[in-house]
Amino acid sequence: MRANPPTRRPGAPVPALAGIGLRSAHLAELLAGPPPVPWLEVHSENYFAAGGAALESLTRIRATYPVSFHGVGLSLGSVDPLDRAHLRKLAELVRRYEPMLVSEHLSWSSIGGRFLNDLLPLPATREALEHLVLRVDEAQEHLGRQILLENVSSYLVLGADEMPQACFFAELVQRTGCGILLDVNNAYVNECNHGASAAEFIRNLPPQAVHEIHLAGHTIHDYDGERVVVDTHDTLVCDAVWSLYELAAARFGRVPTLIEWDSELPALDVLVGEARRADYIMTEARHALAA
Amino acid sequence: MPSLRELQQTAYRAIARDDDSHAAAFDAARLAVYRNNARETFHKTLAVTYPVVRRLVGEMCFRGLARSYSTEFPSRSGDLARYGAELPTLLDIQYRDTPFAYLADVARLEWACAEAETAADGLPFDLLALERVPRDDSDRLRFLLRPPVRLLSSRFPIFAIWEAHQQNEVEPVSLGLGAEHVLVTRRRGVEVFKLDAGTFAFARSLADGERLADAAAAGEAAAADFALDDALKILVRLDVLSGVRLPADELE
Repeated sequence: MRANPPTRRPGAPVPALAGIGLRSAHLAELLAGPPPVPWLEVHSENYFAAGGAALESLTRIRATYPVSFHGVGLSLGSVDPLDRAHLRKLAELVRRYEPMLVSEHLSWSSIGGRFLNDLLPLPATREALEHLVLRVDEAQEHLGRQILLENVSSYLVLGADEMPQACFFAELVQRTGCGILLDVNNAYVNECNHGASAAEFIRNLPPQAVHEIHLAGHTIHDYDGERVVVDTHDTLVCDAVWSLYELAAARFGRVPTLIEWDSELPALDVLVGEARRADYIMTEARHALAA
Repeated sequence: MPSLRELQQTAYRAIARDDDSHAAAFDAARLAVYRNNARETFHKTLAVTYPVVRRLVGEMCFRGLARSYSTEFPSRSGDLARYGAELPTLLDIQYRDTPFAYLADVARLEWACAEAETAADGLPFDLLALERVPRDDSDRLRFLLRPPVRLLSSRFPIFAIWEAHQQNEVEPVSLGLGAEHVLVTRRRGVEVFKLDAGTFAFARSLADGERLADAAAAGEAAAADFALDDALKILVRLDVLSGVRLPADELE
Protein backbone atom coordinates (compact mmCIF):
# COMPACT_ATOMS: atom_id res chain seq x y z
CA MET A 1 0.00 0.00 0.00
CA ARG A 2 1.25 3.44 -0.86
CA ALA A 3 1.05 6.11 1.80
CA ASN A 4 0.39 8.79 -0.79
CA PRO A 5 -1.23 8.60 -4.19
CA PRO A 6 1.20 9.18 -7.05
CA THR A 7 1.53 12.82 -7.93
CA ARG A 8 2.07 13.69 -11.53
CA ARG A 9 4.00 16.81 -10.63
CA PRO A 10 7.37 17.00 -8.92
CA GLY A 11 6.84 17.03 -5.16
CA ALA A 12 9.24 19.53 -3.61
CA PRO A 13 9.66 23.14 -4.70
CA VAL A 14 12.19 23.37 -7.51
CA PRO A 15 14.52 26.36 -7.71
CA ALA A 16 14.32 27.42 -11.36
CA LEU A 17 17.99 28.26 -11.31
CA ALA A 18 21.16 26.57 -12.48
CA GLY A 19 22.73 23.85 -10.32
CA ILE A 20 25.65 21.49 -10.75
CA GLY A 21 26.29 17.76 -10.48
CA LEU A 22 27.68 16.68 -7.11
CA ARG A 23 31.18 15.20 -7.33
CA SER A 24 32.97 13.84 -4.26
CA ALA A 25 36.03 16.01 -4.96
CA HIS A 26 33.88 19.10 -4.31
CA LEU A 27 32.08 17.75 -1.27
CA ALA A 28 34.11 19.51 1.43
CA GLU A 29 33.96 22.84 -0.40
CA LEU A 30 30.21 22.59 -0.95
CA LEU A 31 29.64 21.96 2.75
CA ALA A 32 32.15 24.50 4.04
CA GLY A 33 30.65 27.91 3.30
CA PRO A 34 27.49 29.47 1.95
CA PRO A 35 26.13 27.33 -0.93
CA PRO A 36 27.65 28.55 -4.21
CA VAL A 37 24.78 26.98 -6.19
CA PRO A 38 21.07 26.64 -5.33
CA TRP A 39 20.78 22.88 -5.92
CA LEU A 40 22.75 19.74 -6.74
CA GLU A 41 22.14 16.68 -8.87
CA VAL A 42 23.37 13.21 -7.92
CA HIS A 43 23.48 9.91 -9.79
CA SER A 44 20.89 7.73 -8.06
CA GLU A 45 22.92 4.51 -8.36
CA ASN A 46 25.84 6.04 -6.45
CA TYR A 47 23.62 5.83 -3.36
CA PHE A 48 22.27 2.30 -3.68
CA ALA A 49 24.53 1.17 -0.81
CA ALA A 50 22.88 -0.12 2.37
CA GLY A 51 25.13 2.13 4.47
CA GLY A 52 28.51 3.82 4.56
CA ALA A 53 30.22 7.05 3.63
CA ALA A 54 28.33 7.88 0.41
CA LEU A 55 24.93 7.89 2.12
CA GLU A 56 26.35 9.79 5.04
CA SER A 57 27.66 12.55 2.80
CA LEU A 58 24.37 12.70 0.87
CA THR A 59 22.57 13.19 4.18
CA ARG A 60 24.84 16.13 4.96
CA ILE A 61 24.43 17.59 1.49
CA ARG A 62 20.65 17.21 1.65
CA ALA A 63 20.55 19.19 4.91
CA THR A 64 21.79 22.23 2.94
CA TYR A 65 20.78 21.71 -0.69
CA PRO A 66 17.73 20.60 -2.63
CA VAL A 67 18.85 17.61 -4.72
CA SER A 68 17.63 15.89 -7.83
CA PHE A 69 18.19 12.19 -8.53
CA HIS A 70 19.41 11.31 -11.97
CA GLY A 71 19.43 7.60 -12.80
CA VAL A 72 21.55 5.85 -15.40
CA GLY A 73 20.81 2.19 -14.70
CA LEU A 74 17.08 1.52 -14.95
CA SER A 75 17.21 0.50 -18.61
CA LEU A 76 13.66 1.74 -19.17
CA GLY A 77 13.69 1.07 -22.90
CA SER A 78 14.89 -2.53 -22.64
CA VAL A 79 12.48 -5.29 -23.63
CA ASP A 80 13.66 -7.20 -20.52
CA PRO A 81 11.31 -7.05 -17.52
CA LEU A 82 11.84 -3.91 -15.48
CA ASP A 83 14.34 -4.55 -12.68
CA ARG A 84 12.10 -4.40 -9.60
CA ALA A 85 15.01 -4.55 -7.16
CA HIS A 86 16.56 -1.51 -8.84
CA LEU A 87 13.26 0.32 -8.70
CA ARG A 88 12.78 -0.60 -5.03
CA LYS A 89 16.19 0.86 -4.13
CA LEU A 90 15.38 4.03 -6.03
CA ALA A 91 12.01 4.30 -4.29
CA GLU A 92 13.72 3.91 -0.93
CA LEU A 93 16.17 6.71 -1.75
CA VAL A 94 13.33 8.93 -2.94
CA ARG A 95 11.45 8.37 0.31
CA ARG A 96 14.53 9.06 2.40
CA TYR A 97 15.91 12.14 0.63
CA GLU A 98 12.81 13.70 -0.96
CA PRO A 99 14.52 14.90 -4.13
CA MET A 100 13.00 17.83 -6.02
CA LEU A 101 13.20 15.89 -9.29
CA VAL A 102 13.75 12.26 -10.31
CA SER A 103 14.99 11.58 -13.81
CA GLU A 104 16.11 8.74 -16.05
CA HIS A 105 16.98 8.33 -19.72
CA LEU A 106 14.93 7.50 -22.77
CA SER A 107 17.27 4.64 -23.58
CA TRP A 108 18.07 0.99 -22.94
CA SER A 109 21.21 -0.64 -21.60
CA SER A 110 20.44 -4.32 -21.13
CA ILE A 111 19.05 -7.30 -22.96
CA GLY A 112 18.74 -10.92 -21.79
CA GLY A 113 19.78 -9.79 -18.30
CA ARG A 114 23.15 -8.52 -19.54
CA PHE A 115 24.05 -4.87 -19.17
CA LEU A 116 26.27 -2.60 -21.23
CA ASN A 117 25.89 0.07 -18.53
CA ASP A 118 25.61 2.67 -21.28
CA LEU A 119 22.70 4.72 -22.62
CA LEU A 120 21.71 3.20 -25.95
CA PRO A 121 19.24 4.92 -28.23
CA LEU A 122 15.73 3.75 -29.04
CA PRO A 123 14.10 4.11 -32.43
CA ALA A 124 11.14 6.51 -32.52
CA THR A 125 8.73 3.78 -33.56
CA ARG A 126 5.16 2.89 -32.53
CA GLU A 127 6.43 -0.35 -31.03
CA ALA A 128 9.02 1.45 -28.87
CA LEU A 129 6.46 4.07 -27.85
CA GLU A 130 3.88 1.50 -26.72
CA HIS A 131 6.62 -0.30 -24.78
CA LEU A 132 7.85 2.92 -23.14
CA VAL A 133 4.35 3.95 -22.08
CA LEU A 134 3.99 0.71 -20.10
CA ARG A 135 7.45 1.01 -18.61
CA VAL A 136 7.13 4.65 -17.57
CA ASP A 137 3.70 3.92 -16.04
CA GLU A 138 5.21 1.05 -14.09
CA ALA A 139 8.17 3.12 -12.86
CA GLN A 140 6.02 6.11 -11.84
CA GLU A 141 3.52 3.85 -10.14
CA HIS A 142 6.31 2.24 -8.17
CA LEU A 143 7.95 5.50 -7.18
CA GLY A 144 4.67 7.24 -6.49
CA ARG A 145 5.76 10.30 -8.41
CA GLN A 146 6.59 11.75 -11.77
CA ILE A 147 9.86 10.97 -13.50
CA LEU A 148 11.57 13.08 -16.14
CA LEU A 149 13.05 11.39 -19.19
CA GLU A 150 16.19 12.65 -20.87
CA ASN A 151 16.97 12.59 -24.58
CA VAL A 152 20.29 10.73 -25.01
CA SER A 153 23.25 11.24 -27.30
CA SER A 154 23.47 8.61 -29.98
CA TYR A 155 26.20 7.46 -32.27
CA LEU A 156 24.55 4.52 -33.99
CA VAL A 157 21.13 4.61 -35.55
CA LEU A 158 19.21 1.60 -34.26
CA GLY A 159 16.18 1.02 -36.46
CA ALA A 160 14.35 3.55 -38.60
CA ASP A 161 12.34 6.32 -36.90
CA GLU A 162 8.63 6.41 -37.76
CA MET A 163 8.11 9.84 -36.22
CA PRO A 164 10.28 12.78 -35.13
CA GLN A 165 11.94 12.23 -31.72
CA ALA A 166 10.11 15.28 -30.33
CA CYS A 167 6.72 13.74 -31.24
CA PHE A 168 7.79 10.52 -29.52
CA PHE A 169 8.47 12.53 -26.37
CA ALA A 170 5.25 14.51 -26.69
CA GLU A 171 3.08 11.42 -26.93
CA LEU A 172 4.93 9.73 -24.06
CA VAL A 173 4.33 12.81 -21.90
CA GLN A 174 0.69 12.97 -22.85
CA ARG A 175 0.02 9.29 -22.13
CA THR A 176 2.07 8.79 -18.96
CA GLY A 177 2.26 12.22 -17.34
CA CYS A 178 6.06 11.98 -17.26
CA GLY A 179 8.16 15.09 -17.76
CA ILE A 180 11.09 15.88 -20.02
CA LEU A 181 14.69 16.51 -19.11
CA LEU A 182 16.02 18.29 -22.17
CA ASP A 183 19.73 17.69 -22.64
CA VAL A 184 20.76 20.45 -25.03
CA ASN A 185 24.23 19.02 -25.54
CA ASN A 186 22.79 15.63 -26.49
CA ALA A 187 20.49 17.26 -29.03
CA TYR A 188 23.50 19.07 -30.47
CA VAL A 189 25.67 15.92 -30.50
CA ASN A 190 22.91 14.12 -32.41
CA GLU A 191 22.70 16.96 -34.91
CA CYS A 192 26.44 16.65 -35.50
CA ASN A 193 26.33 12.86 -35.77
CA HIS A 194 23.07 12.32 -37.66
CA GLY A 195 22.04 15.69 -39.04
CA ALA A 196 18.77 15.84 -37.07
CA SER A 197 18.23 19.54 -36.29
CA ALA A 198 18.64 20.28 -32.57
CA ALA A 199 16.73 23.56 -32.87
CA GLU A 200 13.80 21.77 -34.46
CA PHE A 201 13.85 19.11 -31.73
CA ILE A 202 13.74 21.85 -29.07
CA ARG A 203 10.98 23.78 -30.87
CA ASN A 204 8.79 20.69 -31.16
CA LEU A 205 8.93 19.56 -27.53
CA PRO A 206 5.75 20.25 -25.53
CA PRO A 207 6.78 23.39 -23.58
CA GLN A 208 4.85 22.65 -20.38
CA ALA A 209 6.58 19.27 -20.01
CA VAL A 210 10.21 20.40 -19.90
CA HIS A 211 11.03 20.46 -16.18
CA GLU A 212 14.82 20.34 -16.33
CA ILE A 213 17.62 21.13 -18.76
CA HIS A 214 21.12 19.63 -18.90
CA LEU A 215 24.17 21.36 -20.32
CA ALA A 216 27.54 19.68 -20.79
CA GLY A 217 30.68 19.61 -22.86
CA HIS A 218 31.52 17.07 -25.55
CA THR A 219 34.57 15.86 -27.47
CA ILE A 220 35.18 15.30 -31.16
CA HIS A 221 36.70 11.87 -31.75
CA ASP A 222 38.33 10.65 -34.88
CA TYR A 223 37.77 6.97 -35.64
CA ASP A 224 39.82 6.02 -38.70
CA GLY A 225 39.12 9.37 -40.32
CA GLU A 226 35.44 9.45 -39.39
CA ARG A 227 34.50 12.31 -37.08
CA VAL A 228 32.14 11.37 -34.25
CA VAL A 229 30.99 13.86 -31.61
CA VAL A 230 30.95 12.09 -28.24
CA ASP A 231 29.06 13.25 -25.15
CA THR A 232 31.97 13.13 -22.70
CA HIS A 233 30.99 15.61 -19.93
CA ASP A 234 34.64 16.60 -19.53
CA THR A 235 34.85 20.16 -20.80
CA LEU A 236 33.13 23.54 -21.03
CA VAL A 237 29.75 23.93 -22.72
CA CYS A 238 30.47 24.99 -26.31
CA ASP A 239 29.11 28.16 -27.99
CA ALA A 240 26.71 26.28 -30.26
CA VAL A 241 25.15 24.61 -27.22
CA TRP A 242 24.86 27.95 -25.40
CA SER A 243 23.00 29.33 -28.45
CA LEU A 244 20.61 26.39 -28.39
CA TYR A 245 20.16 26.96 -24.67
CA GLU A 246 19.11 30.56 -25.40
CA LEU A 247 16.49 29.14 -27.74
CA ALA A 248 15.35 26.69 -25.05
CA ALA A 249 15.25 29.42 -22.39
CA ALA A 250 13.13 31.59 -24.67
CA ARG A 251 10.74 28.73 -25.31
CA PHE A 252 10.51 27.06 -21.89
CA GLY A 253 11.12 30.02 -19.56
CA ARG A 254 12.91 29.47 -16.27
CA VAL A 255 13.68 25.78 -15.87
CA PRO A 256 16.14 24.23 -13.38
CA THR A 257 19.30 23.81 -15.42
CA LEU A 258 22.23 21.57 -14.64
CA ILE A 259 25.89 21.83 -15.57
CA GLU A 260 27.09 18.22 -15.96
CA TRP A 261 30.79 17.49 -15.65
CA ASP A 262 31.81 13.90 -14.94
CA SER A 263 35.47 13.46 -15.83
CA GLU A 264 38.56 15.70 -16.01
CA LEU A 265 36.84 17.55 -13.20
CA PRO A 266 37.83 21.24 -12.88
CA ALA A 267 37.78 23.44 -9.77
CA LEU A 268 34.33 24.07 -8.31
CA ASP A 269 34.55 27.73 -9.43
CA VAL A 270 34.55 26.68 -13.09
CA LEU A 271 31.29 24.77 -12.64
CA VAL A 272 29.77 27.63 -10.66
CA GLY A 273 30.80 30.01 -13.46
CA GLU A 274 29.02 27.87 -16.05
CA ALA A 275 25.92 27.75 -13.82
CA ARG A 276 25.93 31.57 -13.47
CA ARG A 277 26.12 31.89 -17.24
CA ALA A 278 23.05 29.68 -17.58
CA ASP A 279 21.24 31.78 -14.96
CA TYR A 280 22.12 34.94 -16.86
CA ILE A 281 20.74 33.49 -20.10
CA MET A 282 17.49 32.47 -18.36
CA THR A 283 17.12 35.98 -16.95
CA GLU A 284 17.79 37.62 -20.31
CA ALA A 285 15.29 35.31 -22.02
CA ARG A 286 12.66 36.25 -19.45
CA HIS A 287 13.24 39.96 -20.06
CA ALA A 288 12.99 39.37 -23.78
CA LEU A 289 9.68 37.54 -23.26
CA ALA A 290 8.39 40.35 -21.05
CA ALA A 291 9.45 43.07 -23.48
CA MET B 1 11.83 -4.07 -39.97
CA PRO B 2 13.31 -5.98 -37.03
CA SER B 3 11.45 -5.93 -33.71
CA LEU B 4 12.72 -3.88 -30.76
CA ARG B 5 13.94 -7.11 -29.17
CA GLU B 6 15.87 -8.09 -32.28
CA LEU B 7 17.40 -4.63 -32.53
CA GLN B 8 18.56 -4.76 -28.94
CA GLN B 9 19.94 -8.28 -29.25
CA THR B 10 21.87 -7.44 -32.42
CA ALA B 11 23.27 -4.23 -30.97
CA TYR B 12 24.26 -5.93 -27.72
CA ARG B 13 26.16 -8.66 -29.54
CA ALA B 14 27.92 -6.19 -31.81
CA ILE B 15 29.03 -4.02 -28.88
CA ALA B 16 29.74 -6.58 -26.17
CA ARG B 17 31.14 -9.47 -28.16
CA ASP B 18 33.55 -7.12 -29.84
CA ASP B 19 33.93 -9.41 -32.85
CA ASP B 20 33.01 -8.39 -36.33
CA SER B 21 30.65 -11.26 -37.14
CA HIS B 22 27.95 -9.31 -35.30
CA ALA B 23 29.08 -5.88 -36.42
CA ALA B 24 28.26 -6.01 -40.14
CA ALA B 25 24.94 -4.20 -39.68
CA PHE B 26 26.59 -1.12 -38.18
CA ASP B 27 28.88 1.72 -39.16
CA ALA B 28 32.29 0.72 -37.78
CA ALA B 29 33.29 4.14 -36.43
CA ARG B 30 29.96 4.63 -34.65
CA LEU B 31 30.04 1.12 -33.23
CA ALA B 32 33.56 1.85 -31.96
CA VAL B 33 32.18 4.61 -29.69
CA TYR B 34 29.91 2.14 -27.89
CA ARG B 35 32.55 -0.59 -27.77
CA ASN B 36 35.00 1.88 -26.35
CA ASN B 37 32.48 3.14 -23.78
CA ALA B 38 31.76 -0.40 -22.62
CA ARG B 39 35.43 -1.33 -22.44
CA GLU B 40 36.33 1.81 -20.50
CA THR B 41 33.36 1.56 -18.12
CA PHE B 42 34.10 -2.04 -17.20
CA HIS B 43 37.85 -1.52 -16.99
CA LYS B 44 37.48 1.56 -14.80
CA THR B 45 34.97 -0.17 -12.52
CA LEU B 46 37.29 -3.15 -11.98
CA ALA B 47 40.29 -0.85 -11.51
CA VAL B 48 38.52 1.06 -8.73
CA THR B 49 37.53 -2.15 -6.94
CA TYR B 50 40.81 -4.02 -7.45
CA PRO B 51 43.69 -1.51 -7.15
CA VAL B 52 46.07 -4.06 -5.56
CA VAL B 53 45.43 -6.76 -8.18
CA ARG B 54 45.99 -4.09 -10.82
CA ARG B 55 49.33 -3.10 -9.34
CA LEU B 56 50.35 -6.74 -8.97
CA VAL B 57 49.68 -7.68 -12.60
CA GLY B 58 50.48 -4.31 -14.20
CA GLU B 59 48.21 -2.11 -16.30
CA MET B 60 48.67 -4.00 -19.59
CA CYS B 61 47.76 -7.34 -18.10
CA PHE B 62 44.91 -5.80 -16.08
CA ARG B 63 43.37 -4.42 -19.29
CA GLY B 64 43.43 -7.92 -20.76
CA LEU B 65 41.94 -9.29 -17.58
CA ALA B 66 39.16 -6.68 -17.66
CA ARG B 67 38.33 -7.67 -21.24
CA SER B 68 38.19 -11.39 -20.47
CA TYR B 69 36.12 -10.61 -17.41
CA SER B 70 33.52 -8.61 -19.32
CA THR B 71 33.13 -11.50 -21.77
CA GLU B 72 33.09 -14.31 -19.21
CA PHE B 73 31.07 -12.49 -16.56
CA PRO B 74 28.90 -9.85 -18.26
CA SER B 75 27.44 -7.09 -16.10
CA ARG B 76 24.12 -8.21 -14.62
CA SER B 77 22.95 -4.97 -13.07
CA GLY B 78 22.34 -1.33 -13.83
CA ASP B 79 24.21 -0.65 -10.60
CA LEU B 80 27.91 -0.86 -11.44
CA ALA B 81 28.83 -1.27 -7.77
CA ARG B 82 27.80 -4.90 -8.20
CA TYR B 83 30.17 -5.45 -11.12
CA GLY B 84 33.32 -7.44 -10.48
CA ALA B 85 32.25 -9.96 -7.82
CA GLU B 86 33.54 -12.88 -9.89
CA LEU B 87 37.05 -11.60 -10.56
CA PRO B 88 38.49 -14.01 -7.96
CA THR B 89 36.83 -16.87 -9.87
CA LEU B 90 38.37 -15.73 -13.15
CA LEU B 91 41.80 -15.38 -11.51
CA ASP B 92 41.39 -18.86 -10.03
CA ILE B 93 40.70 -20.27 -13.48
CA GLN B 94 43.59 -18.40 -15.10
CA TYR B 95 46.28 -18.78 -12.43
CA ARG B 96 45.48 -21.94 -10.49
CA ASP B 97 48.62 -24.11 -10.25
CA THR B 98 50.85 -21.22 -11.31
CA PRO B 99 53.19 -19.06 -9.19
CA PHE B 100 50.43 -16.40 -9.30
CA ALA B 101 47.79 -18.51 -7.56
CA TYR B 102 47.72 -15.93 -4.72
CA LEU B 103 46.09 -13.33 -7.00
CA ALA B 104 42.61 -14.84 -6.57
CA ASP B 105 42.79 -14.54 -2.78
CA VAL B 106 44.08 -10.96 -2.97
CA ALA B 107 41.06 -10.23 -5.20
CA ARG B 108 38.77 -11.87 -2.62
CA LEU B 109 40.17 -9.50 -0.02
CA GLU B 110 39.58 -6.48 -2.26
CA TRP B 111 36.01 -7.57 -3.01
CA ALA B 112 35.43 -7.96 0.74
CA CYS B 113 36.64 -4.35 1.15
CA ALA B 114 34.19 -3.21 -1.53
CA GLU B 115 31.35 -5.02 0.22
CA ALA B 116 32.36 -3.60 3.59
CA GLU B 117 32.29 -0.09 2.16
CA THR B 118 28.63 -0.26 1.20
CA ALA B 119 27.25 -2.64 3.83
CA ALA B 120 24.58 -1.46 6.26
CA ASP B 121 25.86 0.51 9.24
CA GLY B 122 24.29 -1.67 11.95
CA LEU B 123 23.64 -0.55 15.49
CA PRO B 124 26.43 0.08 18.00
CA PHE B 125 27.05 -2.83 20.34
CA ASP B 126 24.96 -2.56 23.48
CA LEU B 127 27.31 -3.87 26.18
CA LEU B 128 24.51 -3.56 28.75
CA ALA B 129 22.65 -6.30 26.89
CA LEU B 130 25.33 -8.67 28.16
CA GLU B 131 24.33 -7.90 31.74
CA ARG B 132 20.82 -9.11 31.09
CA VAL B 133 22.09 -12.57 30.14
CA PRO B 134 21.85 -15.00 33.05
CA ARG B 135 25.34 -16.14 34.04
CA ASP B 136 24.45 -19.81 33.48
CA ASP B 137 23.45 -18.99 29.91
CA SER B 138 26.67 -17.31 28.85
CA ASP B 139 27.94 -20.42 27.05
CA ARG B 140 24.84 -20.52 24.93
CA LEU B 141 25.13 -16.89 23.94
CA ARG B 142 25.41 -16.07 20.27
CA PHE B 143 27.00 -12.87 19.04
CA LEU B 144 25.88 -10.90 16.02
CA LEU B 145 28.59 -9.35 13.88
CA ARG B 146 28.25 -5.88 12.36
CA PRO B 147 27.08 -5.92 8.72
CA PRO B 148 30.38 -4.67 7.18
CA VAL B 149 32.47 -7.42 8.83
CA ARG B 150 34.07 -9.95 6.45
CA LEU B 151 36.42 -12.80 7.37
CA LEU B 152 38.85 -14.36 4.92
CA SER B 153 41.53 -16.94 5.18
CA SER B 154 44.18 -17.77 2.62
CA ARG B 155 47.12 -20.13 2.34
CA PHE B 156 48.99 -17.05 1.06
CA PRO B 157 50.09 -13.95 3.00
CA ILE B 158 47.27 -11.82 1.57
CA PHE B 159 47.37 -9.29 4.39
CA ALA B 160 51.09 -8.63 3.92
CA ILE B 161 50.58 -8.31 0.14
CA TRP B 162 47.58 -6.03 0.54
CA GLU B 163 49.33 -3.86 3.13
CA ALA B 164 52.53 -3.52 1.08
CA HIS B 165 50.47 -2.24 -1.85
CA GLN B 166 48.86 0.55 0.18
CA GLN B 167 52.22 2.37 -0.07
CA ASN B 168 53.61 4.21 -3.08
CA GLU B 169 56.84 2.24 -2.86
CA VAL B 170 56.04 -1.45 -2.57
CA GLU B 171 58.38 -3.55 -0.42
CA PRO B 172 58.65 -7.11 -1.74
CA VAL B 173 56.59 -9.67 0.18
CA SER B 174 57.76 -13.25 0.55
CA LEU B 175 55.12 -15.88 -0.18
CA GLY B 176 57.06 -17.90 2.40
CA LEU B 177 55.19 -15.96 5.09
CA GLY B 178 52.48 -18.55 4.54
CA ALA B 179 48.80 -18.56 5.48
CA GLU B 180 47.13 -15.44 6.81
CA HIS B 181 43.71 -14.75 8.30
CA VAL B 182 42.08 -11.41 7.69
CA LEU B 183 39.21 -9.42 9.12
CA VAL B 184 37.71 -6.58 7.08
CA THR B 185 35.49 -4.06 8.80
CA ARG B 186 34.34 -0.47 8.51
CA ARG B 187 34.56 2.04 11.29
CA ARG B 188 35.34 5.53 10.01
CA GLY B 189 36.45 3.91 6.75
CA VAL B 190 37.15 0.38 5.57
CA GLU B 191 39.94 -1.29 7.56
CA VAL B 192 41.80 -4.56 7.15
CA PHE B 193 43.35 -6.47 10.08
CA LYS B 194 45.37 -9.64 10.35
CA LEU B 195 44.05 -12.06 12.98
CA ASP B 196 45.83 -14.96 14.65
CA ALA B 197 44.50 -18.42 13.74
CA GLY B 198 42.63 -18.89 17.04
CA THR B 199 40.84 -15.52 17.04
CA PHE B 200 39.99 -15.97 13.37
CA ALA B 201 38.46 -19.43 13.92
CA PHE B 202 36.52 -18.04 16.90
CA ALA B 203 35.22 -15.06 14.88
CA ARG B 204 34.40 -17.27 11.90
CA SER B 205 32.40 -19.53 14.17
CA LEU B 206 30.50 -16.59 15.72
CA ALA B 207 29.79 -15.28 12.23
CA ASP B 208 28.32 -18.68 11.38
CA GLY B 209 25.90 -18.29 14.29
CA GLU B 210 27.58 -20.78 16.62
CA ARG B 211 27.15 -20.51 20.40
CA LEU B 212 29.92 -18.87 22.43
CA ALA B 213 31.08 -22.19 23.88
CA ASP B 214 31.29 -23.79 20.42
CA ALA B 215 33.06 -20.76 18.96
CA ALA B 216 35.60 -20.93 21.80
CA ALA B 217 36.11 -24.63 21.06
CA ALA B 218 36.76 -23.75 17.41
CA GLY B 219 39.34 -21.19 18.54
CA GLU B 220 41.05 -23.76 20.76
CA ALA B 221 41.07 -26.32 17.97
CA ALA B 222 42.79 -23.82 15.68
CA ALA B 223 45.39 -22.58 18.18
CA ALA B 224 46.66 -24.30 21.30
CA ASP B 225 47.24 -20.96 23.05
CA PHE B 226 43.74 -19.61 22.30
CA ALA B 227 42.37 -17.47 25.15
CA LEU B 228 38.68 -16.59 24.98
CA ASP B 229 39.08 -13.33 26.93
CA ASP B 230 41.80 -12.07 24.60
CA ALA B 231 39.86 -13.02 21.49
CA LEU B 232 36.72 -11.25 22.74
CA LYS B 233 38.76 -8.17 23.62
CA ILE B 234 40.17 -8.03 20.09
CA LEU B 235 36.69 -8.26 18.56
CA VAL B 236 35.30 -5.59 20.90
CA ARG B 237 38.27 -3.29 20.25
CA LEU B 238 37.77 -3.63 16.48
CA ASP B 239 34.05 -2.96 16.95
CA VAL B 240 33.14 -6.23 15.27
CA LEU B 241 30.19 -7.18 17.46
CA SER B 242 26.77 -5.63 17.11
CA GLY B 243 24.67 -7.56 19.59
CA VAL B 244 23.94 -10.76 21.48
CA ARG B 245 21.08 -13.16 21.38
CA LEU B 246 19.91 -16.33 22.99
CA PRO B 247 17.97 -18.56 20.63
CA ALA B 248 14.25 -18.31 21.29
CA ASP B 249 13.99 -21.99 22.32
CA GLU B 250 16.72 -21.51 24.87
CA LEU B 251 15.02 -18.44 26.31
CA GLU B 252 11.92 -20.39 27.19
